[in-house]
Amino acid sequence: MSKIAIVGGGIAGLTAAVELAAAGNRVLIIEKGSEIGGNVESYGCKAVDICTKCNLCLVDDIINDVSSSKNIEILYRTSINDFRGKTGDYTLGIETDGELYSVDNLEYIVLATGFTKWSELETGTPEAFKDNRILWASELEESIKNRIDRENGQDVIDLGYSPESVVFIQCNGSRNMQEKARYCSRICCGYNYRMARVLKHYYPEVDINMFYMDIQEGGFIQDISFSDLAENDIGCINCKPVRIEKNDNNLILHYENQLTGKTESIATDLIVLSEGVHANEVNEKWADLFNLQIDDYGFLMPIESEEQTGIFLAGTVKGPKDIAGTISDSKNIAYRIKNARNLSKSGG
Amino acid sequence: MYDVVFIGNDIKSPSLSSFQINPAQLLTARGEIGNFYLKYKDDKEDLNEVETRAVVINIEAEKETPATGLLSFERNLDNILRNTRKDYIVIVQDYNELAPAIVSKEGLEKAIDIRKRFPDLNVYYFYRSMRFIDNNDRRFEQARKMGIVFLKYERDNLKITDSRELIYNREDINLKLKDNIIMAPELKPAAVLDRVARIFNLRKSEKGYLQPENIYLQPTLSGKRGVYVLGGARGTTGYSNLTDEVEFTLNEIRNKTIDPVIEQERVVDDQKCILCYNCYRICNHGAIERDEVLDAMKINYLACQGCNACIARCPAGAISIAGSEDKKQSKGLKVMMCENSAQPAWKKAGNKVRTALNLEIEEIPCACSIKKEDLFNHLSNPENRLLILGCFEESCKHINGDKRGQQVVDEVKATLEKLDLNPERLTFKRLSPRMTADLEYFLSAWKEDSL
Amino acid sequence: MIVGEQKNIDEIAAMLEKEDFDNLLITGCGTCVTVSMAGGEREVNALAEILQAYFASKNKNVKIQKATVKRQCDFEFLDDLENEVDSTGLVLSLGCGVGVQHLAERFPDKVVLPGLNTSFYGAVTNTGELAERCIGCGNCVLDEYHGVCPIARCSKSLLNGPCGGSQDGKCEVDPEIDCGWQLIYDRVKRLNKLEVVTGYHEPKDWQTYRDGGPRKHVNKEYFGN
Repeated sequence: MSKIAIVGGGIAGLTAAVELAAAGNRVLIIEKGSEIGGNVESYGCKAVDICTKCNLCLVDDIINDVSSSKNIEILYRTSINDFRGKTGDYTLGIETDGELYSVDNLEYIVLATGFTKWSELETGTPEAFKDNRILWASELEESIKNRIDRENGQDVIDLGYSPESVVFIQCNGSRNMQEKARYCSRICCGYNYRMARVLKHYYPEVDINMFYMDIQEGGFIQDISFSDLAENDIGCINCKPVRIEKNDNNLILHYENQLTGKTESIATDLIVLSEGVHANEVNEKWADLFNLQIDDYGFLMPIESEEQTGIFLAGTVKGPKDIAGTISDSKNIAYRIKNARNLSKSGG
Repeated sequence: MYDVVFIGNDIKSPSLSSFQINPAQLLTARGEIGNFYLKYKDDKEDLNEVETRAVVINIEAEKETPATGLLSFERNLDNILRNTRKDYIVIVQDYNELAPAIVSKEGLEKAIDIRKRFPDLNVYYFYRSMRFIDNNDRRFEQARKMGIVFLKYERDNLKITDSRELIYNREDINLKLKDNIIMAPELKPAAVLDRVARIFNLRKSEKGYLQPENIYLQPTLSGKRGVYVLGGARGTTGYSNLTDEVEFTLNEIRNKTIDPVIEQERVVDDQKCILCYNCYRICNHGAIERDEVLDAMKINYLACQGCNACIARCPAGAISIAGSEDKKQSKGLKVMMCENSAQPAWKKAGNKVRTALNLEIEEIPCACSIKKEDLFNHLSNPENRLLILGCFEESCKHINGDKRGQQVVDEVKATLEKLDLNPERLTFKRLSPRMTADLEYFLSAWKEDSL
Repeated sequence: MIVGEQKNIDEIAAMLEKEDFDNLLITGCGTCVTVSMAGGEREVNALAEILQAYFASKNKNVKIQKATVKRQCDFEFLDDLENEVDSTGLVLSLGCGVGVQHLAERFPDKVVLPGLNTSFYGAVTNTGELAERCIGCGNCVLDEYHGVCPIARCSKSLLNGPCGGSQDGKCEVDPEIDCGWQLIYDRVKRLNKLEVVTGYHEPKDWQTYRDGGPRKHVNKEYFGN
């Protein structure tokens, strides 16, 4: 019996798998790591008094559906080395724990191998790496993820020290040619806004400021406005800081006030750097293997119609997307595969 | 039978049969996913009914130009620009509040169009934040390359006076501009949304758009299965990913297999039902309507999403789960866990922790399903304690089940307080499926505190 | 619809405190007060549970029975309660004031206590919300005012225009209340019948209200056996 292969066990791949499996298709997920979930597995709930719409709850539902589905088979620690065959009957040469073999009779292939965080790339803001008071957003995430709402005065979020002020710097690895991304990554404003709200929720006395270029909508359904920021007592400074100065007591950020043109500075205990969404380097391999187009920034695009080749792209392999956007994109890809399947069955 | 009926703007799709109804002419909507029956008046005022598998509500938001007397996006500017004596044209975005991506998009396209057709005019574009979703980053770059002057402002350094003069100060730039000022619109919900919400029994967001913000209703779902809300009917950000959302919606309508979400059927005892409509009003999934033959309410099986709000709130006790038995009286410490938040977190806690805590757990579909009589029953023994775990506000799969649960808890606590029956024995806490560590800590603290 | 609101639980407890009984019957009413979520089967069940807990806390051994009838204001429905009432020492009615009295009349040997406050005649205005629309004056003037009653909707029951304390369409007595005269004005303007607000309305004849004592309605077509 023919199968649908899904490459990547992140949220994009899993969503497509669940949708296709529910319609009775046999689905094979090929995952390079030892667990499914991908990037989102490292994220924690960002609710304060109310839900801030980070969308992680959706992910949990999907992972539960994957584990309860009888039609889904998962290959862990597996990579792809070869691709051959013809539309509707492909074969993938794969490798699991050093063992080489092939899976054939693949009707469709969905590439859902996601993105790379800017912080994972070699280049970056150099100062960031040498001070434990300068964190990537994903490092702060680690502390937030395991927050425990204790009653006895212990820290809810374990940072190792309690900051009196926090500065978020937006647009790292985005909107900058030197950082190989002229585009806006679209997710960082919402991401850091949520994180700032969580900090503010547990430490209402902490001073929070955000350096930004343009405030983006916070995701699929949440707008972020200056009044939202003001309501949550999050200050915003419209520029990228020029220089960070470090001393034993604090960190000083120098920046140009856009109104006056004068240089000003702000001192803080903690700097959190946003991380842009970058293309995964495996995309180049996919482009060669599956005959796909690669854009200026390394994201993938189909050359021929996906319905005709049977090779579909889902999620952030195509460009920056938030969780909800990734989920609905992947569902849509699954629907398109079902459409294509029905058409080919009815002889159309 | 159509595949889809559009309330508002039509979207043609070769693979779906569709019909369009003007929202002002829509009268009633009955049925559920797969079989909706819509009554409407046609242009000749004749009454008609259509049958459809799904419904898409696609109604534009209304546009309002802030600061009166300025030019709007809609206005045809050709004559003005051809005859102007000024050497500039001005576009102002984000005047009162940040504009959504759709407004950035229209503003950028307007600026590019003017620049192309009137190359002699300087184009000044004032903005506070450019919204880059929907490919606006490309438009922004193109506009900059074409020589459009982008000037960022903050609340303090741009003013439009009563005499419609724009004053802008920044560093060494001091501008006073009069005439040729185009003001980007602000979006607000169409007035007709009220009517549509009532007919389909849909909830509205705080700002008056259809459906409150809820992660489970993305990207275009409504609380009612088979009814989708698109674009400006959904909110100002409803336009930001519109192309993808339209494709998603039409593909979902084409593909979604219609299975009941729940295995057990909720039934209304037509002898007990007094048609008070409380269940209809409380059901956030639009799953309940009046059975015209029995003259009692009925629950649409495919639309029902199993939250049990109707069962908990029916004042006549007329709704129940078919074949269910009465619950046994429980003793000691008891935890009621919502299946969408606490239960997944609890399952992740691992067997060791669960065994060590050794608590009586009752799985509930939603915090809204708790009944005050059950709470009183458990707490009638002064040694007993009860913990109810629900979702964070605005994260409930059933829209506001957490609030409904909180309402019951508050009332029960107030009652216990008045009778001096120690209300501290009842606790309500919210958490999310990701908060396993927090849940473990809280449960052991609660248990210790209770013993 | 008659709108009722359950009495505070401590008030009910205090009321029961004065009586001597070891058997209690809580009776609900399945019509108006069920709709107003105050005296239907659900409320009977909840009240029974909490009172059971309360009696236990006072070391009182009381057996509680529950029964909800379609309407407490008809003897025919109350007849169904004969057995339950016989075996009980005390009846706590969650019907409106009419129901409580009718129970007392039907079962003259039993103490019947009210568990509700009968509030007003109203309509459902939101989920879980009912609002007053009529005071039952016995001589309807809605023809004169085209569908909004100045007696029930204006806090001061003014018949000839607003009092002057209305602000942004809200009443000066309570800004939560819509100004009745604003509602009348909006409506007659829409209907193009502004003479309602510009014209003069004669003082109302209040003889049909409570002023003539308890009222009775006899339907001549049906009256008598």
